[in-house]
Amino acid sequence: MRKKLSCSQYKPRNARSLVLCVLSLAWIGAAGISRAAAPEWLRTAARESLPNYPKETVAVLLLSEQMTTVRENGEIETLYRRAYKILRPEARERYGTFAVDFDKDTRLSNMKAWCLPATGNEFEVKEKDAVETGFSEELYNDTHHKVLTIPAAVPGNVIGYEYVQRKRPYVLQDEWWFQRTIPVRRARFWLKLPAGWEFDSFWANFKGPDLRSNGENQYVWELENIPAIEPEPGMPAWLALAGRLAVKYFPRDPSLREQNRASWESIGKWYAGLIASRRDATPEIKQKVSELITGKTNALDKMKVIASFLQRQIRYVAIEIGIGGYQPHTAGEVFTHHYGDCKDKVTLLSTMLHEIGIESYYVLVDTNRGIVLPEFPSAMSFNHVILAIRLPEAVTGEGLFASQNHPKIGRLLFFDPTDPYTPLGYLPSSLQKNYGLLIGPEGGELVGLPLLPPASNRLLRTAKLTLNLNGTVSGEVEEIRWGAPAADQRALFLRTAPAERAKVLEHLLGSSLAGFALTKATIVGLEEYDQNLVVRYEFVAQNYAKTAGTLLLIRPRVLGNKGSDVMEKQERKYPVEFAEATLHSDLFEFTLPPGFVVDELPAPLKTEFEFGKYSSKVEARGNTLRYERLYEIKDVTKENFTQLKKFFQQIAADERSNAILRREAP
Amino acid sequence: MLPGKGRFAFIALPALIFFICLLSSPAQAKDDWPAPSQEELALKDNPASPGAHAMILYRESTSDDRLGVRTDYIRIKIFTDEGKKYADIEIPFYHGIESVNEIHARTIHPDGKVVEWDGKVFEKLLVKAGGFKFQVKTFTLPEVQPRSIIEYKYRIQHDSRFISNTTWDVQEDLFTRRALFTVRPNTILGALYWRAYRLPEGTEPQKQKDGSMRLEVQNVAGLEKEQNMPPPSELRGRLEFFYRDNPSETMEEFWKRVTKEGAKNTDNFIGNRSAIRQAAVQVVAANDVPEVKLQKLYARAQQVRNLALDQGKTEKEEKREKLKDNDNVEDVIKHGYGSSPDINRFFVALARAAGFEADWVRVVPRYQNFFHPELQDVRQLTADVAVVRLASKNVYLDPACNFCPYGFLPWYETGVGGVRLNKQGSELINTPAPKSAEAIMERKVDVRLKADGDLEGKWVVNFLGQYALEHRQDERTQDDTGRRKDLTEKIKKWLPANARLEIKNVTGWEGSTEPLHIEGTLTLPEFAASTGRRLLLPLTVFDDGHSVYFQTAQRKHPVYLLYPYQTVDEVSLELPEGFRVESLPKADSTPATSAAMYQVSCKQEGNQLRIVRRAGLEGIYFPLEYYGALRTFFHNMKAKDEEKIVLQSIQAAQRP
Repeated sequence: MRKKLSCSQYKPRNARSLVLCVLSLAWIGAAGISRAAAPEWLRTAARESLPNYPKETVAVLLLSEQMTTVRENGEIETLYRRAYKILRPEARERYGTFAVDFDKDTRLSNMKAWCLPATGNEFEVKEKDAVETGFSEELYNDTHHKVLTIPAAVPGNVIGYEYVQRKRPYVLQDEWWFQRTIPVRRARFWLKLPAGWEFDSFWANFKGPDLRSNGENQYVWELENIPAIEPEPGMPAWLALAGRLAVKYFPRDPSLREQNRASWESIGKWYAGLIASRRDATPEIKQKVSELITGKTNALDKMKVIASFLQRQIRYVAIEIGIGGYQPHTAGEVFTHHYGDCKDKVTLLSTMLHEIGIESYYVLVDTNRGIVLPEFPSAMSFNHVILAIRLPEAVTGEGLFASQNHPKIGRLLFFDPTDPYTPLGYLPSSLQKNYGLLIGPEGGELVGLPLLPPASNRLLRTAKLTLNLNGTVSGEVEEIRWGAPAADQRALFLRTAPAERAKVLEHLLGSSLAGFALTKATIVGLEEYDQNLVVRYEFVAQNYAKTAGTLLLIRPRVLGNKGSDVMEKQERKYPVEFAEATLHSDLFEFTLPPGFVVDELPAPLKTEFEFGKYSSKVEARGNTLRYERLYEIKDVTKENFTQLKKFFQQIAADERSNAILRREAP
Repeated sequence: MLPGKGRFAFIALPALIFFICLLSSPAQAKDDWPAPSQEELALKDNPASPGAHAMILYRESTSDDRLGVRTDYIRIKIFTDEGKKYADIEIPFYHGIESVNEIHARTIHPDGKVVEWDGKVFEKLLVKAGGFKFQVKTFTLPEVQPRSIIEYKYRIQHDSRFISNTTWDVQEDLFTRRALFTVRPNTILGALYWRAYRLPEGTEPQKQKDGSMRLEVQNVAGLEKEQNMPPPSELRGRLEFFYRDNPSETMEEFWKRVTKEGAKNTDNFIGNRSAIRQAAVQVVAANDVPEVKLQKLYARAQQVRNLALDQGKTEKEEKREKLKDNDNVEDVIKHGYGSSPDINRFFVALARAAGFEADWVRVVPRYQNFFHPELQDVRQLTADVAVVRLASKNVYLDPACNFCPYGFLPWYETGVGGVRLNKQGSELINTPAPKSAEAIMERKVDVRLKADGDLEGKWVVNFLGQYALEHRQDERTQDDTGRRKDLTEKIKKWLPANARLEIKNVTGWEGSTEPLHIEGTLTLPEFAASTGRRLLLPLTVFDDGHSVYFQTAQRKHPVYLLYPYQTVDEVSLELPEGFRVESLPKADSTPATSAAMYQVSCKQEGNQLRIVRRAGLEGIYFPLEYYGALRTFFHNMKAKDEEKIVLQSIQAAQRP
């Protein structure tokens, strides 16, 4: 697995169809039938006795083998082998085609695949049969992929492939991801080191077996019957749950050995070397800073205007060639072009902040929680870069939620200039309660990133509505958002052309109302990312309240769904992960039609668990019905499914509840 | 992203043209950009169509078919941050067949300051396989901000041995303020013709003194995507050029000419062969009425293995089978397999042998496009059916279509145009329009409501006609587990999120005429909301699912459905003990003549409620002016579906 610091998750993923196109082209094999000669390892794997798997299991990975040979010069050669038994038809699409990466630093060889049909008559395909593509979500990435399709990957057959990658990695580390969404019958990791070399290993999410020595400085780990990790709604990132073995290699040379010790500190030093001399301010940068801060008298205002410049005027464009996957362009280059990827943006921001006397530090992160493990320092754990800004003592402004004290450096404010909609003071949800490697002057230090309080991620919705005799509800709504809800909503509106934004609102209303007309809508603060986002609109919903004889039934929860599909399953294996801690409140007031009185009201609800709370109540005050509710998520992960299910079931029932009005006798 | 576009329908070019290509066209100079006007620099939005991320201020596309050269120039005004994405440019090209060069680009700030592009172009490999290489040249422009103008130009040189038919996509995804198109024909290839689609009246290219064709357009709206819209190629304003040898040839003459060869080949393929006659005799009985005969022949043709269904196979798997081509219908019998055209022509041969008037018909499937005979392009005709004269009617059939019952066409071949190939040459035809009675979904529920509001019981779903055909085809390669999983997911979408559903039995996967029948059990926790004294439950158990497509008030394009449909829901609901009906929703129905049909009724029979609901649409194409009525229909239907059955606690009611 190769990771780069390119944060392509911020790019719209609109090119998947092209990837599918490439994969479909991979069905085109080269002409000619070569006589198959399946290797013995594949035949052995095919003979494995298998336990009973659930009937939904599409395939079993009979063998997953990774044989790593480290050479004295630091070059690593890895032979990969996979053997699958196809159990169900849909496995053909998932496992019948595989892709292998290569680039100028990673050579690919010996790519072959076979099929052992249950009826005999084997197939073999080779590298020349593969389709090659350099498709990537970045503007340009020098990594290419060879895509090979294995014939007859149908139920009952065994397929397998192998290939060799030879590379001289930037860091002497390897990762073995042995757990899959299907069961694994056997997995092996071989390690062959030059004499005198040492290694360190770490198991994540799995209790590893004892190490076996297999000759001089050769080792093997072997696992059997590894359970599948099947996706569940709302689960944490799959990679954060999957078992893996991480290995570091230490050369014989004592100085190199120390350098490769791969502590968080040494990884930080390595990265500090990559970014050295990248943050030199050019005259143009200095001039721009001067221009931006003109009229700004305090440090926070200056920081805000520079941060906003990076977010909005430096366009996200990733161009990755070789070490460019890790090393940023110089601040001068980024400023000249006004574009760059995450590390480029951080570089320029840091440079500009330095010009106003504020120091800052690169922070390497992974955009999924649970990938970075404090117990195992690894340079392969990161896919994104943000900035930690040392706050001057004078900066005491409110709203800097993403800050925390560092014992040596002082108060640090974490900020992601690549996220276009999360302003200074906040941190994108996926990075909260995550880890980051702070690249300080003395090397790296792993720090926990703050979880922002629920009140910093707020939705406050109020509505004044009128119910008429025939059940029509009309009125005005005001929604005020800040924090993550504001960033999410801004993204939704701003990615939509201004002329089409009413449709966004209509789709949102459509999830709660039938037969409505949006009659007016205004958005305040859409372009001011550090301000509250206020959406005001008016609507008419005909037949909203239902007539039933002399009764009029009205659902007080007119808008907003807090329901969650985690309720669907009877049980689950993995925790639920919320995007962020958040606090939402609704306050709806209905003016009732003349001649109607309240006959029955839903009972108030108040429920609270460790992870969140919810309350709602409906009250009648004269000719007004008042519905009030509060929904709060306090933490991002929750393992107790029973509690969670109960919590959301109560919310769902509350959201469906009706108030019953009765026509008064004349 | 605005790529350099081209439709690559290569036709061989006479060798004579080769030397012409050695002449180089005048290279575009880097600095010959037209100066932006003050008005262009100052623009903050598109005055003609406000509220877009960006607009094309000017486009110029110049093709020279003699040289196989096209030059493109595009100037775009950016209005929003999101619009900055148009500064990432990709120009696709086929390596070895064409080359992209002379790329120039620049950014212009609103104050007129020009930022030159650094000239860095990346070649990105999209696909390389079997000597074929498809790449893009990609680059990005510097200092792009809202209100910036970006402009770029490039030249595409096609290989001299090939030429691409020129297509002017006059309508882009972005609004175009002004565009100029020019093509200089290659007279060696014949006379240059054109067809215009979706262009304003009177918009047509003008022939210039030098023989070139020129078109200038202004204020062309961008083409936006919407759900349930016709294929974009049917909506995009464009001009297509093609060469013909005979300038006076009419459209009808064209089709007769170009299909003459096809009709002859078809006749040769079908012939009048003894093996076919024998096969027909074996299948039908002398005393069968004509329709029974035809049904039997249809069933026989459906027994032939359709090789098109082997799509998942790799070339190596196919080669190993050593399948031989069918040269005629006798080969189809001998081999027992064939392509879709082979099978349909085999059926035509059987029908003719049994005394029917039958022909093979090439059609344009609706999943691809609509038929435009005026385009005079036989490549449109990518599917085929058979037509048989039965009594006084033409019956269209597609026995090559897996699971397709006799008397039926798959949705994509209903209401389509095509060409009937017969001994006289050819005839332009239309297949019958689809009807809602050909796609019925029946949903029956027999449930018991508990006093706590939970609903539990049994359900049955029958898919008939197009619904059944579509499911059978979609699930053809799936196993039972996969089919049940897919069906469960589909049915769960009709129900509240907390529904618990289990499929107990499915029948009809392998047939074609009987319904696809699914039955199972269901639990809907808290389906009825308790208010203390009452239980409130919605009129319908299953959601219709269609109203989601009609949430927005504004629409740009007609509504286009794959096929008309009917849904019939029957719910039998046992009331909980201790409750009585306080109120039931009133019956409702649309006028019988309406294209959109909805009827619902709810009756009490003892301690049972019987709810019957029918809904459907007749028609597949609803012009824009009907969108409002359609939206109102679905909104009203949804509101009615959400009406409440009110049950009252007897005990509570008896309280003073």
